[in-house]
Amino acid sequence: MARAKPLAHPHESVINRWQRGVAVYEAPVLTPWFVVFLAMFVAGTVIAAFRLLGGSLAPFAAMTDAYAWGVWKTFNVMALTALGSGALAVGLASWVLGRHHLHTVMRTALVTSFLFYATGLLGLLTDVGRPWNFWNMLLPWRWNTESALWEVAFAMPVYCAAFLLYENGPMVVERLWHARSDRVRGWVRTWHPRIRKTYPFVVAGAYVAPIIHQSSLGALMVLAGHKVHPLWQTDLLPLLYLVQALVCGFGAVIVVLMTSCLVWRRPLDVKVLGELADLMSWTTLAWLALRLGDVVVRGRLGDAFALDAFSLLFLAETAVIATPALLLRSPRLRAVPRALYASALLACLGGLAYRFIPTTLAYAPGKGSTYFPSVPELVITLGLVATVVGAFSLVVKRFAVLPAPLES
Amino acid sequence: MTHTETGPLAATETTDRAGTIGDALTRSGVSRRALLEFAGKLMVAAPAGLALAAKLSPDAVAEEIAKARRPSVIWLHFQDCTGCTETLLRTSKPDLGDLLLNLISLDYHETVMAASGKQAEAALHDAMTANAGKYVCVVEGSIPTKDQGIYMKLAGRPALDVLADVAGKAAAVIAIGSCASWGGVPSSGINPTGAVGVDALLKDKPIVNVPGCPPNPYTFLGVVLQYATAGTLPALDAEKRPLFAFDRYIHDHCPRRAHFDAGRFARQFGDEGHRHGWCLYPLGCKGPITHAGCSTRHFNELPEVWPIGIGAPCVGCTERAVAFKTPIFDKSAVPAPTPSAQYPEIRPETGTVSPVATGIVGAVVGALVGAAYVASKRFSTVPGDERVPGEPDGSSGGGADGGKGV
Repeated sequence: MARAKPLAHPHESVINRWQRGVAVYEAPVLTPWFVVFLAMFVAGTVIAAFRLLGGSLAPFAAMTDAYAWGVWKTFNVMALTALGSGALAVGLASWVLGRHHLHTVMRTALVTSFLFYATGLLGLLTDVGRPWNFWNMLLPWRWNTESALWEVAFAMPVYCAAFLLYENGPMVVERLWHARSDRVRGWVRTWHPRIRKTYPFVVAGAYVAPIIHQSSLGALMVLAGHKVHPLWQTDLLPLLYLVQALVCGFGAVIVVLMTSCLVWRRPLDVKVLGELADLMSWTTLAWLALRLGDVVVRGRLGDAFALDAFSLLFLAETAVIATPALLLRSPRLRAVPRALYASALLACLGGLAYRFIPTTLAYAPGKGSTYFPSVPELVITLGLVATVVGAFSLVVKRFAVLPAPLES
Repeated sequence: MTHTETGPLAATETTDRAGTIGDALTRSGVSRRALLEFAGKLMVAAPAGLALAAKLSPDAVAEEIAKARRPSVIWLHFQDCTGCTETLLRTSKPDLGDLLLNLISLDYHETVMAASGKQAEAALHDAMTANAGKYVCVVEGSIPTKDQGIYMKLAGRPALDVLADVAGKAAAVIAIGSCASWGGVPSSGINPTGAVGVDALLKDKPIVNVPGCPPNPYTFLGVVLQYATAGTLPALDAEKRPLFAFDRYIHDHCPRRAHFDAGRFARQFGDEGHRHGWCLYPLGCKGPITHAGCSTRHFNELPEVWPIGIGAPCVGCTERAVAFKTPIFDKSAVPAPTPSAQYPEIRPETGTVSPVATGIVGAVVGALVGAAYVASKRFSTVPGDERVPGEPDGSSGGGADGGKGV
């Protein structure tokens, strides 16, 4: 890796010469869509506040004692943090595999990941049945370190609040440079070399934490035992969940980048997008090998082709996941923007489905227990998703997130 | 033959017998931990209804036991399989095995004693005379009554006579096992020997039935130690079983009860449900009609070692009318199909589906699919085409700062 020399202007780059961006300054913040997302955010926040202050889940959520896997856990945490694994996926590719030009899209991945994780954690906070006991989580001697749920509850906030925030820090430091105050610029001059030096060591932790908790999410479903349909229930769930998070991470970064370029009218970088798609395709193929191999080894191939509801669900899910991976093996298609976009969307859809199904459709906690999210639950869930979109649009307009063209 | 050798030996034993249980344990080197462990298990085995175990801590129970004099026990074998003796001796911890034999003074027991023949007879005679009216007579096995009881003889005497003789001089009689309680296996079917339990023969003695095939040793020891510490016998039910161990159905506290309530059953041995550890009711489990504490007090000091725990349906061995009278694999009646109202609901209320919620989900999914389609239509289909529609001049759209990549 070519090391950039210390720069006179920190906004040029704090980390390395690839990781930098441009802010879409000229775009107005208060667009009609932004108002819509803001309204959804406010509606979700108001209901969440009532739910937390009222103390009881019952009037707001359709969850029962038997069916406690509500939409906040299954969608906002289980499914959407997979989309939020872009920072992990792109980070592994750029820092570990040494594909340094992927640093150009790192900031997009980091902001997306932070927002998905933060809203997932907010959803989890809304979900905690007795939030007034939550402070016990802060006392290490009350931790049950044997628990997979604890692993999730510990590693996720730590990843989001410590590692992702730190990784997003250079962007903020650059922004401070533009405060045009000598005192602040002095502070930036002092601190950016230190951030630069410590950065690689800290990001190492940023790859351990998500590997732990993304696999723990799968472990939670392993613990659910026979409640999860045998086509999905396997001891490999932790590994499958983790690899699928990487697939979703690549897919989400492609979708977010291309959508941003469309919305804010910026040129695409087909080479970088194609490389992300290539990595996503290989990761998906590895995942498919694990998934199908596992089904065969466990002798569940008969169930897979029984053509009942679960078999069809399995086949549809596998098809949606396999299609983009196979299409993107073609170098020509990897250069076609529409094919890239459609494949990445499919990959995200398939990944979300795989992470969502074992906790919901293929999950049967007991005879007669059914669940469909209530309206307040959905308003909070949609409010959290709107928060991701709205906050992202705000951040790209105020910070240098979107990739800057390299050649100029 | 004189008893010059057994005489002094018996006398020494009588002296030992006079000591307290605590003395005996110290002498045999049994650790205090073992006694505490035993006291704890006794408290679990008798959660209510046994005065001895109704203490706040195992220490208090152990102290009470240690103070008591070892009760003299004479153990008679009639038509039995020795399973009840085995259950008393089979503990997985050697220390506990020693402990059990030190808690009571087992003065006569045909399986355990070293003596045989006339020496054995002398031991029985000595034990009876030394503690006449004070010893506890334990009967294992049923007594044949047909044809003047000739089907089982002990030293030339029919079992009937031996029972009348030994039990007649006892302070109390404990019928251990289902055979001694009401006939058990030997009385099943055509009952060729006319086998009956102790209760049918002795009318003027306090009798405690500890049925089971085999019974739980802690139930037996609870009764004996209650007698040793306070000189009283625990409260009994209509079948003369101690209430502290037989006051509830196995079904009430079965670890697999939740599966019964949720309708998850093993239908055949080795099927999916059986391997998952679901309810064994369809296989003929008699738990719903059997009073016993097996579901909370397992055997051999090992967790889950009891019939249902190892996947075998309960045969109802502690019920006079069930075991050896009804076929093992026949389904029983279920007098109490629903759990007590004090327990939390196991069958959950079904969730409600609001039409507004499904509408919202449908609308959102539809909007996302539509948006994805519309957005993807705006991207070029030409390989390597990096332009997007509406781009100002085909180059970077540009921010005010660094739009040209700095």
